[in-house]
This record gives sequence, C-alpha cells and structure tokens, in this order.
Amino acid sequence: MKASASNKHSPQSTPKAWVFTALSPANAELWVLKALSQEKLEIIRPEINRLVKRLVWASKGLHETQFDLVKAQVITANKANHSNRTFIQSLAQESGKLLSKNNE
Amino acid sequence: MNDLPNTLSQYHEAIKNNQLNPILAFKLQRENFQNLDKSNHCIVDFYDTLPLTNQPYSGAALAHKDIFEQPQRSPGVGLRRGLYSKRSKQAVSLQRLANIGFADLGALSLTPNACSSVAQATPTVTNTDQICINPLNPKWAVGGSSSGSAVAVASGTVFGSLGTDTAGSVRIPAFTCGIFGLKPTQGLIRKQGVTALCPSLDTTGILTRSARDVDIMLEVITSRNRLVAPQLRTESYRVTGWVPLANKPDSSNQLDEHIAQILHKFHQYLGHTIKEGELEWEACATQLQSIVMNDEVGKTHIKSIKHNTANSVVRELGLLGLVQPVEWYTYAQAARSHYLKQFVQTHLQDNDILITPTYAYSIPDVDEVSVGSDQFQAHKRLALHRYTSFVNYLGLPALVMPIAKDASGKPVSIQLIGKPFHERTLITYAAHIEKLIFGDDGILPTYFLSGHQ
Repeated sequence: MKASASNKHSPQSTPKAWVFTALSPANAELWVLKALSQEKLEIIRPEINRLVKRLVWASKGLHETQFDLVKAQVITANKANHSNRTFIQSLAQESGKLLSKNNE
Repeated sequence: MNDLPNTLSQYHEAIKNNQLNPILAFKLQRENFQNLDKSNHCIVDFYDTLPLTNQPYSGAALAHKDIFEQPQRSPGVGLRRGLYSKRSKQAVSLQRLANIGFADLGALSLTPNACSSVAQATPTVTNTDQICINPLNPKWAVGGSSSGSAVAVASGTVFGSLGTDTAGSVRIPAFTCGIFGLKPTQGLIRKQGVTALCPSLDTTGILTRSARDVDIMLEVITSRNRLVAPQLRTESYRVTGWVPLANKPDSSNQLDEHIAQILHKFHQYLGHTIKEGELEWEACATQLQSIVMNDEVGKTHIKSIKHNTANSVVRELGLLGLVQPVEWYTYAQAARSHYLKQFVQTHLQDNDILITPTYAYSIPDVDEVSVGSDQFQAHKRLALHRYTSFVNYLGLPALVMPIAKDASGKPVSIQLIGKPFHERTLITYAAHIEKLIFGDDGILPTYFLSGHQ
C-alpha cells in the first residue's frame, strides 16, 4: 500500500489491487498518522505504536485470506455503492424468499 | 420459579386452564426478580407496570438488556442507570410482547456500550459498579455483552429476555449460563428503539430456557410471513457438525480435546455428518466482520473517542476503525453478499443445519478472561467470539444451546446455523435435541449447578 494514497472514498470507487497487500510498519505508521490528523485525534505515542502493530497484523491477515480469489468477481458484482439494504435483499434471495417492503 | 412452570408454553397452558392467576404470578415473579440483584448484580432498573390481563401470556415475566428504549426512559447502555427522556418511546419488540400480556420486569446490565465479550462492572440497582455473577457458579465468567439478560433467564426469575448481538453478544452469555440464545437473520427484527453499536451487524436476540420459548417470543416480535416454515419431521433434517481438529497447535481453530470428544459423540449419536479441518469462507468472514465492526464502532463513538471519554474496549476497536484504510471497509461491505452466497452454497445447500462449536474450551473462570488478572489467558478471552462473529458478517440466523456437561460439570454448547430466515428450522431441531437431553420441561435452573455431573 502506498502511504500517500488518498484515504477519501468515492461511492463509485472500487478497491485497488494494493488495498489488501500487507502494510510494512513504516508505511503503516504514516498511514495511521495521516488518518489521525484527518480525524483531528491526538493520541500518545504508545497508542500510535499499538495501532500500527494492529494494522500491520490485520493487513497480513487480510492478505493471507486470499482475497484475490474472489476480488474480481466481487468488484464486478458491486460496482454501485453498497448498503445494508442491498445486503438484506441478498439474504432474502439466498433464502428464496422476498422481504416485505417495510424492511429496515 | 417457586411453583411456577419452567417454560412459557407450560405457563400459557396453565393460564388457559385457569390453573394460574396472572396477577399473583406476576407479583411472585416480580419479588423473585427484585431479589436477584442482591445476589447477582444484574438489574439496572425495576419496572412496576402491571401486565395486560386476558391475554395468552398475561403476567409471564421477561426483562431486557438496558439498550432498549422504554416510554420516557432512555437506556443507560452499560454506562449508567436509565435516564428520564421525554422523547423516548417503547422499542417495537417490547411493545409487541407487552401487547400479548408479557410483564416486562426491568432493564438488565450489559457491558459498557454493548462492546465486550465478558461481563464488566456496571451500575445496578443495589450495587454500584459490580460485575454480574453467573448463577451456575460464581467463579465462572458471564459472557457479554448481554450479560444480565443471560443471568436473569438462567437464574429462573424470568422466562425470557431480549439482548442484542453484534459479534456474539447474545450467544456468548447464553453459552456461559447454559441456556438458549438466538441471533436472528440480519433485518428480520425491527431495531426501532434499540441503541446501535454497529448498525450493519447488530440484531436483537432472544434468550430462554427452552427452544419452544424462543419460537414463541420470535413469532411475537417479528412478522410471521418473514419466517420460512420448517419441516416438521426432524429425522429428515440434513445436519453437518463441524468439529475442528483437536491438538493441532498451529491452527487457530484448535478445539480442546475433551470438548472435541463430546462434540464427536453428540454428532455420532444423532447421525450427523462430521466435518473436520477448515470451514470454507469462515476465516475471511471473521476478518471482514472485524473490519466492519472496527469502522462502525469508530463512527458510532467518534465523539467520546475524541474527547477521551470512551471506555477502553470502545477506544481499542474504534481507534483502529478510524485509522484503518477506508477501502477495507468499502470492500468488506461490498463483498458481503458474495461471501454469503458462497457460504450458503458450500455449507447449507445440501444441509438444513450446520452445527459449530460455541467455544473451544470449558467455560472460563472470571479471572482467566479479565484483563489485569494474574490468571488472565489472552487466548481464552479472544476465543469467546471465535465461532460467533463470522455469522454476524454473513447475516445468518444462529442458535446456541447446551448439549452436555464437561468433566467439570460445565455446560458444553453448540451453535446451529441455518439459511437466511430459516430460524424455525433451527428452533424445531433444537427442540428435538432439547427433548432428548432435558425432557419436556426445558432447562431447569438447577440442571447445571456446580457439582452436578
């Protein structure tokens, strides 16, 4: 992942290939500092270090779960912005049952 | 419950046949409930509203996690006692239960902001900031976050309770207290009047001492036409039991050998197909649930995180959510339907029910899962939601129930997972297992008391 990559999300954007590659501690720290400054969050150094460690760990975990196997299909199927409502509709499809319109 | 029936279906029969006076029953249950906080520290507020009479469940006691709104009372959400609020209206689920006669006796304790898998010290009626106590054995941990909801049901003082489940918050305490806990399909139950933690993962859940009682409460709080009717002949159910390999040190799925033996015996006895090794799609779904949860905890509690007033668990999860790449969350949400489809096709196309363990070990002692304790064991704490959180990401229904006692007399539970909106299939099969193990009276509050083998 490039530390300089934008953290902004546009509804139509799709995950780039680098999204799920493992973060190195150095660029993860840059990423954390940037996100904290965007959120105007001031936290102490040990907490930053812990966040970096957890982020690196989570990133490796993501990498190991072999997202690449399904990523392309998912991106094709979900070009539009996703919402909880569309997920609940997919639950209804999997059960072979339509939901009433007063669903949450 | 002092001469009262143990299950709702028995209570209903007694009311119908005029064998019970609902007002006297209500008063007796209220007295028992009010005494419960002195011993178990699980009640945030008592209510005094008389139940409707001439209804099918008039006077049957229930209670709820203090995360549901009541008329003019906003919930304390594990941070404080409830507060007067002119704007608060009764949560839809509670309103529906009250309409058929249920007596809501009070608000029950939970972990702060419904955000921990282990009971925490929180304010209750008679004790300030004490951890609620497991009625089966005070040494055993009470899971979270719907801790009080499980304690009240397991103690026998109410027939059922409502909780909420984001990563296992109904199923984990149900397991530690040896009762039933249902997490329904995402979107099945309206969340109006329920405080959110993670809007796309939260569901209202039900805790009881009998599978039939889960069914009774579920039918009331949801629209019947949303639930898929089950097959009634349980012998024709196709069931697979997942028993991750024991003694495989490198596997995150490692089960304690004794628990694995119990599960093997159980599945063999009932003629289930046994699956060992990895459960396809589960590891991904667990990772993605964590990404969604971190992000939504961060968004929900951004103010308290910024002002440094958030409790430690909210801060831990929420900070990570605020700094993790936005694309992770976007992907996790976009991929949800895909993983659901894959999981259902792999595990539930040729099965009616998939059964997983609920926990890899025996119920932990309080000290083993309390951060800061000398006996703290991180792997036992982390394992509490090991088999539950992926189900929230997939949105599927899941029901936890006890099936045996382990060598130390602690309940061993299973988790039944079904297709979306097939809750009644899970309940019907769970009722079949319940009858085989516990008979016709549900789980009696004395069944798992310490020392009984």
